[in-house]
Amino acid sequence: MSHFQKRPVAVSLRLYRALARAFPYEFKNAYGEELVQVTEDAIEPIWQRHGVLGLVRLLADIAVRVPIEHLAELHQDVRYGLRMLAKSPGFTWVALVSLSLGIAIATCAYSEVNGLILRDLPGVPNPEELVALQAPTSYPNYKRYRERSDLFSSTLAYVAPVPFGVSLGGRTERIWGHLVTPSYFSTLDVRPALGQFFDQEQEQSGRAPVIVVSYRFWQEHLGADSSAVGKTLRINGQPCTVIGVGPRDFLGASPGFFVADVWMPVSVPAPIAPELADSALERRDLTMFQMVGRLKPGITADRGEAALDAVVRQMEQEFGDADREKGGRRVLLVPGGKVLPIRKQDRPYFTEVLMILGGLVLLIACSNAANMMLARAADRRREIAVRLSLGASRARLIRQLLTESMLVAAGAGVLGFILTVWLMHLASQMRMPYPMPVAFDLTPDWHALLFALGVTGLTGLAFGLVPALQATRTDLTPALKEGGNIQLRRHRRLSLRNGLMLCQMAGSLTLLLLTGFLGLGIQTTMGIQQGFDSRNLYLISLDPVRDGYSGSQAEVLFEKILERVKRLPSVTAATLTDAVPVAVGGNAGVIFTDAGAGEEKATQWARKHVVGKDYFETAGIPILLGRGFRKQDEANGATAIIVSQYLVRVYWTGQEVLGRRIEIGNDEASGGFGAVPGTFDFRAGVLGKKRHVFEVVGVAKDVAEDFIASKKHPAIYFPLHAVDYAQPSLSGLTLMVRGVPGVDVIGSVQREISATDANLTPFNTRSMTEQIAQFMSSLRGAAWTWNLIGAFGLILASVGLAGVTAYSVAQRGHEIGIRMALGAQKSDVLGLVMKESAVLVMAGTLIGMAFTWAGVRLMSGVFFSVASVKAFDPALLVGAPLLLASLALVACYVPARKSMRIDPAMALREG
Amino acid sequence: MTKRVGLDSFLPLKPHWFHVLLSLADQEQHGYGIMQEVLERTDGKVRLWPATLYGALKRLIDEELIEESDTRPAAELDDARRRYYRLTRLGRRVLAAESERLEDLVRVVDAKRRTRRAES
Repeated sequence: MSHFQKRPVAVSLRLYRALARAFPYEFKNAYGEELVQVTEDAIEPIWQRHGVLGLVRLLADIAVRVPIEHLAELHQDVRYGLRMLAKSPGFTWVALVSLSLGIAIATCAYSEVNGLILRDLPGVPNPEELVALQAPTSYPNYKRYRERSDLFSSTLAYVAPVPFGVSLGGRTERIWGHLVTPSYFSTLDVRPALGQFFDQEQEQSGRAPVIVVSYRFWQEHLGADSSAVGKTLRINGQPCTVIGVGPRDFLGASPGFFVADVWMPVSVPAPIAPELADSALERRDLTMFQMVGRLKPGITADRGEAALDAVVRQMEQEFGDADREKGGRRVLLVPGGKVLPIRKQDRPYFTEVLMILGGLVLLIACSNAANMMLARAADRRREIAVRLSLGASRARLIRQLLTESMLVAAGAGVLGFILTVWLMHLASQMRMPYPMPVAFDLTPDWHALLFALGVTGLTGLAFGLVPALQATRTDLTPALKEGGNIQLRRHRRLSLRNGLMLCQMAGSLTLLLLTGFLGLGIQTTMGIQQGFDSRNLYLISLDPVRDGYSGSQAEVLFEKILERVKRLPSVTAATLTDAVPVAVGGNAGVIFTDAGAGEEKATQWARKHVVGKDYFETAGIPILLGRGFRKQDEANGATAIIVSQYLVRVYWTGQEVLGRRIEIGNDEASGGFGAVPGTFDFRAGVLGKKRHVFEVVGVAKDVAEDFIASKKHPAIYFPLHAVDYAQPSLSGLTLMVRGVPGVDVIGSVQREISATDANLTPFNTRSMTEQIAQFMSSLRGAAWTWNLIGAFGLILASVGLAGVTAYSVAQRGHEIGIRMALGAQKSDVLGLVMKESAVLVMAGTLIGMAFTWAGVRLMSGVFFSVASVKAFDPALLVGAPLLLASLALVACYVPARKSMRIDPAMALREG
Repeated sequence: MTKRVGLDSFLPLKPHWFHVLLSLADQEQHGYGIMQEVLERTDGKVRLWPATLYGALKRLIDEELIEESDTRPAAELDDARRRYYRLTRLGRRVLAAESERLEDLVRVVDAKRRTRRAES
């Protein structure tokens, strides 16, 4: 045969030999050479008979065979692994449970991060192109931004949250939605499931109002009827036509805080949308419009931000704004396509706590499992040594041991993920104490599943690889020899297992302390005195404007209701109020200055509460100085206000209080809670630019202001004015009633309300106790979580320590036997074993304290905004390590006692 | 009785396995020899490719149907590089059982054919 003809054969043979090297070690050892030989003999006849096709077939045959053999070995390993795991149920169950809890907690942490921070707007394509203004703006400003078609392919503006009184089935339901520009849906690039969306024509005022409803609204309230388009719905007492249904899963541009089930154009007349009263679309001082823009390709968010900033500055110059010369950015852009619009640089701040704690728990669980694996592997040292000496490859043995750990990890991963789904489902149901329905979908999606898979794999490797490597690194001779397990250990040497144990102790202590701080902080909050008597106090919310009444009609109605309710025998006091104690306020605060103090006046800040004149009496808040509100104070132009005790203490110690005059505008009303969307009051009456002068007529006792009860805020109380009737806040106006104990006060009040006007729809009826409980519920849930995690870490650490000690005792049986034979007492032996454990515990405690200190510093930002934490609470700092140490030592003592019962004769014989 | 149960667990036998066992029925053989014997016996219709063959050999050894032979043939026939295989007792019985099963099948097919011919 010519060389040319032989070439394919030679090449094929070379390939074949290379492939044969890919077989698993054992197969290669046993049959590799022979296989190649046979092929060398057979390849010529095959080439002659079948040509190239025969060579291809030959190569295909081995190419398929190689993975099959590998899989067969894997299958063998898995069966062997399962058998080994079944033989030691104790280890298997403990490892499964602790790892699945660890994986569950880590995945929960990720799921929360994912659901809150990383999740994109549902139903919106290309969300990464969207940017939004961090703070709402005015409509004229928006119109200027809109003109920048060089930056944005499309923009939208909307008002949120907007409550709509929708007449459904005879009663008025409070449904939340947005007031939107016509470009809303086109900017978000969504298509209607039914009908159509708004178009430019709707911008012209005067036409019959049209609305779009969400898919779920259509399903729940319109019976998923395909003829729903064209139907008329009464909204805020006015008929509106449904022109379209939104796509499935789409709940608006900010479904986290501002879920939208109804969309109405901003061009509707004011009676339907009280938010738009007082020429809201023309005023520059009413900054209540959220804006979202879709960036053109090639335009970065930074460039957009800078350009918009320039627009604002130009407008300030044009209109001669007072602070046009002030420095600082006017415009900040955030990602508009995420459920929670947080800037990239701010994200770590939110994700830190969760991921750190989740990671810690997983670390502890892994250390535990690794330690147990090490112990098991050490037990099998002789078996492994024999197999190695008989020719088994180290790689194969490592793979076998790894398979076991991966099996445990896989089982734990499945259990852990199931647990995660359940826990996140519970968490998603937690109601937040906001006036509008805040809903975050925390259920794990495929991101979380991938994360769980990744974590599971890493876990299996983490706790399996090192023990596997260590076990197979055995120096064969001492392992094979009888008694080869003696290692007279000096406790100073840091073996791998001891190192892991230290890790675990330190991690557990850190976890315990950190979660303790968080939990303690919340406990402190919940236990604080509220500052008023919350018993027998009831709250009923009303929103006549959204039942179809005008502001003046509403005022008359309220007068009547209040009068009738006060006359009820079961009612001892009643008031109307906008603000309610212990609630997430509708506004953040006001900035005030001393009236007439000249240019150098100091600006001061206080929380604002708008209350009815009998508020203090009804709530049981004592007036410490001066008087409460009177009827005259509710007239337009009246200037009376009441301040809180704390405000006086902060700003006016030793000064005259009563009769003091202060000036209030709303330049940048801000405050701790203003950062949270939906707590900012956008009403014209509030945001109007006019500065007013007020006079202090009374001082009230302090009341718990928000989550951080021990952190006080200065507060100013304003009386209700006509504007509050015309434009009620998001929670409507609340009727607060103090009743006689043991009577159904709410029932009688509701009867009076319907007797006054059957069209009024009371909502959110609750007792003060329920209000407080609901307010605290999210905190309570958090406290529970922290405590649970801390306890879990504690248990894990104890179990781990017990295991290590038990193993140590078992291992040192021979040594102990010798010592006892040489005259050591039982107590000496016990002391020997306990000493080693005690050193580990102490070292772990020290390291844990150091980690805790670092952890607190890392998380201090989050800590102090969530709970009042006395940074180094002595009780916790001493108590926690003590608790952990004692538990750990007890855990060690039990197996250590076994060492005392070792029979020296048996021990010496067994080796 | 247990042996019967053991045999049944092997049936029906994979075709490749059957051919390998059949090759070793009369004599011990090495891998290449088995390949050739099967090829000739089936007139080229069945070719055991090397990797598949050795995969089968490995499994047959694991199942104790064949074993490596320690006796070598006569010097002039022997190839020192090669390993020889032979049937085990179990292997022989399994081969017999499979053959019987195949014979039964053929009998059934024959009977059916006769019936059809008789009917038509």
